Parts: sequence; C-alpha cells; structure tokens
Amino acid sequence: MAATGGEPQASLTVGSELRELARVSAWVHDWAEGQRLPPRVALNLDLCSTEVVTNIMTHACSQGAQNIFLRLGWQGQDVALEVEDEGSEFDPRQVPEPARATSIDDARIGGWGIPIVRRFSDGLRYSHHDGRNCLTLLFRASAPP
Amino acid sequence: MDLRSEQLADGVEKISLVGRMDSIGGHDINVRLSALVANRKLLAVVDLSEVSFLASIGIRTLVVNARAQSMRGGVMALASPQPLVAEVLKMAGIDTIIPVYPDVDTACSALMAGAGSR
Repeated sequence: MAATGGEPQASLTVGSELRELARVSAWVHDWAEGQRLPPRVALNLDLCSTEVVTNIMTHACSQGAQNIFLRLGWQGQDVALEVEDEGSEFDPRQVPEPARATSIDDARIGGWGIPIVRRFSDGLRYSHHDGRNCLTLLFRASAPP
Repeated sequence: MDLRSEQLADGVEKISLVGRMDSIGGHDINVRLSALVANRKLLAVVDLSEVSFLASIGIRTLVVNARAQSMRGGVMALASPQPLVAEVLKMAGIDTIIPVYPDVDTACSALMAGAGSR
C-alpha cells in the first residue's frame, strides 16, 4: 500500500478482486487521518470510493480491465479522488437517477451505487483518454465533523 | 461482518448486524439473514447500531429480506441506524418502504401494536 504519512498526494493501484476493497478503505482512512480531515469527510470519501471501485470491479473488470488506479490529493480547498480504469468507456454522470420506491414490492434492489456517489460527493468530473476512464470526485473539506 | 439473533420476550426476533455492509461483508450476511427471515413469518427488528457503513450492496440485502418477510405476511423493521447509514437509507427512499425506528425498544412496541391491530 502507498502509505501517506501526511503527504498531500497519495496513490494506490489495486487489482480486480472484491477483497481489494479493504485496502482501498484503509488507504482512504490513512490519508484522511494524515490530512486531518473531519471524520464525516473521511466517511464520505470511504463510501464513494467503495462504490466507484466496486462498480469498476463488477463491470469494467469483467470486460478484461486488470487494475484500478487511485489518487488522492487537493484541488484548492477540495479533496480530489481520481479513479482510472481501462474498461470500456463509461461516464457515470450519464446514468439517470433511479425512481424512488413506492412499496416494498416494487423497490429497486440494485443500481444505487452511482446515486450514492452523487449524493455523498460534492462534484463529479469525467473524461476518457488514452483508453482510460478518468473519474474525479470532489469533496469539500470544510464539511462539519 | 457478523450477525447475532435472539428472540425477545414479546416474540420479536432481534437480529443484530455488526460491521461494514460492503461487497466483502455484504454477501455472507445476505445468506445468513435470508436463512433467518426468508422461510417463516416473523416480527423482526434488524438492529443496525453496530453497522458502521452501508454501501449499495447493503441496500439490496435489506430490501430483498424485507420483501421476503412481507410476502410471508410478517414485518422486518430496522432500528438504530448510525447517521451515515440513515442518510443512505433516506437517499434511496428505503425509510419510506421499510420502517426505521430510532431504537430497538421503539421498533418492538410498534411491531407489537401493528400485529395487534392486524
């Protein structure tokens, strides 16, 4: 794991197995602690990185992508989490919001990952270049603890 | 993740989940929760107080099992979600289709009252 020790930039590369999620979460919390982020910002980072990485593992990696490349750092006052993969082009900003359930019988059981990312981050940027999906999630670091 | 279950004095089944409901912990807990709630009619309260993290896979687990219980004529309610977990439930509208209570005692009282009026 790329230990941070308070460094403002950190990177981590993980493979396509779901068990790698534990490494992602530990890395996010290590970095957040080193940067003295409010606990709530660290939790939001943990939740969103888990959803984005899970999505890539279950979709892009099933199409042959081997690795997921993560970077954490600052963009002005915002924390930026960059996630890259080599799966087929996929812009999560284009995914429509799912309908909210009206009863337990018609409740949607899947597809909540991207709505969670939208709700618990403060901005989403996407580009596709050099055969890679590049997604940047922004988090306001001034959120209350 | 871990799961503990006990039958309370009023007949309500209390199921306590412990840990992170992500794709690592979520699958195993889905199997264990289904084994408890999918095959018999229950008044069940799932205590979420020790669930530190609820990812989308956890929404799936809760909805699938609440639906299975509903189809058997029972109820599966949720109790004591931590703030982030409560926000995830609210975002997906789960709190409008699965009853969520601030604590296990309140959930038990509501379930018993509901059973009495049925």
